Amino acid sequence: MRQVVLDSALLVAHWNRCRRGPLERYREPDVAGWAQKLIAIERSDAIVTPVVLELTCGVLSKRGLQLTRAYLGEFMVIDQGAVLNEDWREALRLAARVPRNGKARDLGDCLIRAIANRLNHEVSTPDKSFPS
Amino acid sequence: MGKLSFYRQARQDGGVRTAIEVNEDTVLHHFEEGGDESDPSLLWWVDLRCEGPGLPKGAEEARRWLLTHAGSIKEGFGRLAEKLHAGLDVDLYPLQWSDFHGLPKRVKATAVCSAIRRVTARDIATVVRGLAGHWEEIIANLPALPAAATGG
Repeated sequence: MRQVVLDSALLVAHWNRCRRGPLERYREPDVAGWAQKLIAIERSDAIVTPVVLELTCGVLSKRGLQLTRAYLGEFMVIDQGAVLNEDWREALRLAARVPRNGKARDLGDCLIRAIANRLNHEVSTPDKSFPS
Repeated sequence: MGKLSFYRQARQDGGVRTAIEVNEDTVLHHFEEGGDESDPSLLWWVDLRCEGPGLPKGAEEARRWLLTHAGSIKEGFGRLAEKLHAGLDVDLYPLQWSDFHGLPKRVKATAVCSAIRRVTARDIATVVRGLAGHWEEIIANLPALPAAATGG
């Protein structure tokens, strides 16, 4: 496995690509299979706590929550739920860097980058506005 | 069924990681540091993933295998680079390419590459062409991990 954190945008984009029609037509093993497909493509199952939070925040129904949990359950939360003070400090430092294009930073992205850095992982993201 | 993987990936801060894995354990690895400000988000990555019977089980055996089959691998990477240069799209989903010739029967090799942010297919073509052009040098010079790090 590569030491790469898969970010929220990547997990959401993959979910949307796999999904065809209403969520009610899917069962937990279906979405677990979607996750395994992404893990096989990326050769990494690593996510961090803010990714779990961001995907959970995007849920719109009880069934959606059950399926999102099944999807996330296939990944490894490498910080084990422990977001440290130093992660918050680093996220704040990243947030305070205003890019030339003036675009707002995203709390989750700053925190994902901070935790990945601490745990010596790279970050795979399709998000062009990921803080740099 | 054994697995042998080579990968190279570049970070936003300029750092480049190159490694070989045997059955998903890293056995050879090198990281070129980037700039002072660490930024771990990836710009691009390229994998060569081999699966099949008879693949090597150890670090030096893996190195020898990849050097022995350098001709087929370089030729495959060369053709992939041409396709990429011609405009083959590398978008959100990684591109998967399995058209390698001359490898042992029953070994399936797949090149997988992904570009993120402003990196274009032509940029990736340059990367893949670079792998083809310097394959032996890259593989021969990859340091082995200490025994403790590989669990050996």
